[in-house]
Amino acid sequence: VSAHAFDSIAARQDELLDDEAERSLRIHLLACAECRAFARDVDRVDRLLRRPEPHLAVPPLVRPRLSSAVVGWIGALSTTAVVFVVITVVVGAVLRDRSVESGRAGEATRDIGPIGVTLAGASIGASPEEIRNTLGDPEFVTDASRMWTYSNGIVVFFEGPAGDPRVAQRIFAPHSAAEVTPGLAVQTAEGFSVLGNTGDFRRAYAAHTIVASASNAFQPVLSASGRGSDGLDVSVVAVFDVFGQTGSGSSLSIFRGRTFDTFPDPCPIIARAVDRAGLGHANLSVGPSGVFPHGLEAWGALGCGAIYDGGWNNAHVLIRLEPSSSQDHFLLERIFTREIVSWTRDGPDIWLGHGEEEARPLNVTWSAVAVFAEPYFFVVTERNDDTARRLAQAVLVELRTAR
Amino acid sequence: VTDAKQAVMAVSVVKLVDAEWDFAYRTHAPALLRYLRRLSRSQEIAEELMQETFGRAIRSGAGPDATDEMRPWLYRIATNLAIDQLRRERRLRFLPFLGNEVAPERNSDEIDSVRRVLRAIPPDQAVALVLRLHEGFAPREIGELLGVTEAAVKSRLVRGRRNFVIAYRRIGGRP
Repeated sequence: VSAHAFDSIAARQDELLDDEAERSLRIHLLACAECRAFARDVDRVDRLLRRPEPHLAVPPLVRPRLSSAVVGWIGALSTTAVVFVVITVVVGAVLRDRSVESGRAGEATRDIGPIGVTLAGASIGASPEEIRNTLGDPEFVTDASRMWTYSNGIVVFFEGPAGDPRVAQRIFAPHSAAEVTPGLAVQTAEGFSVLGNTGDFRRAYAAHTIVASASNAFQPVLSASGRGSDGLDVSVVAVFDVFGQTGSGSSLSIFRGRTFDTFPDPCPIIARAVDRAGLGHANLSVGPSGVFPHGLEAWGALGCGAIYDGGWNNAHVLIRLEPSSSQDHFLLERIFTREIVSWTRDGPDIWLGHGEEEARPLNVTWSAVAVFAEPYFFVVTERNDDTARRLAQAVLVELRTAR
Repeated sequence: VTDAKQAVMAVSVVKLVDAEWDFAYRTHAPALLRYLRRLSRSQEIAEELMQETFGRAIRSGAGPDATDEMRPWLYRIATNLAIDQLRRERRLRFLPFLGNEVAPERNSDEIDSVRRVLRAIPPDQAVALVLRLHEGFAPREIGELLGVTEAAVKSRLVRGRRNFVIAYRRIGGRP
């Protein structure tokens, strides 16, 4: 059955077919059972889509609380954006020194910002032309309105010939010597996902995060990671439309960051730090997966340790973040922009922040978070700065020892 | 700038007083909320988007001169916010793992399935479908709302219907 018949069937719903096309479609439908079924489904879908949303209680109008003096310039900036900018500037200032240190002698130093701002050759605000040049693909077609830039990378929507896998291969070729896994099927549904077989959790997690948040549908994914000539790692994730083809729902996400090969496994560091902090680990869980109660399991994939009493009260959580993973970028952004209300510097490598959000399923509130040097460790405690500080200092010692 | 965009920009705006905003809210908020609910993951997000719609409208300091232009004007703001939200969720939503998640029922509420599938198809197409079939806007009006041509809207409707059916089938639904 040709896609053309599907399009014609869909077009007929809005009376977009001329007489000749209508006649052709009718003839086609007589011979094509699949298209007849599709036509029936389109009818039903229209009825479904017309079905009104249930009545919802309308909350009172919340008037914007901006003084007239600032209305003019603050205009479209949301509070979130302002907070993000402020936090990015603050955190960026802290971390910039390290990114500068990472530059190789004789090379222009690239400021990667707090969590990896720069894509090789293209940065936030990059034009489609820059993206195209960066990708080394003169045929790569997109436009500015279909391109998103974030602090951690760039997301580009793109279209290509439907079903043409060469587009994906072209995208990946310049970015990775690593294997490309075509057609990694990901099933997602409202926050749950089942990833296909992949031995690289970081890569899988990048795909997971994006695809799990993309939709509830089945989406084939291509992902790859590798190291650029500048020493920065690049993770590339292509999400194709629900039909597994390049099309209007396709996107290409590029994340840049640094890796910390010195610490491929944070678990021993966390375990020793807990000991060093004198917190004991009778109830310590450390591991990449499977050892945490529901909800923390996913954090485990990042490298996470948790100390808790039997009832998961009084919990302290250590999270190790590696900024080359896009999942970490998301978590960082989330913590920086949403969880933490204020930050205070508490030492050369430690910042303390306080958040207000409840961290379920733990019966704690995000209260004290210590931010370390690379790789970033977060300590979440139950409104206990001393514990956070103690753990933070212990992790720092372990990191220095490991180096 | 397209003709459609010019048409939207040509809406004559005047400064509105509080009472006029209150009237606009009472008149349009219920329908806007339902519209945004159809495109949102949760009622809370829909409410946030609706408040932001009026927030932006009020912050702009002015509204359409003609009463009958208020509805499409508000829908235009709301639609832009909804599309932004859909795209942001596609790429940036961190999964919070709150610990109280319940695996979705395959045959959950039909309306909820519609919402889920709408979030699975490209946002431009989802918005066009909802504006057309749920809100009853004509393709020309949708074009004015979105700042695109009527032909582009019709194309989105065609692709949106096709994609909706296929995506609906993929999640196990039967239209």
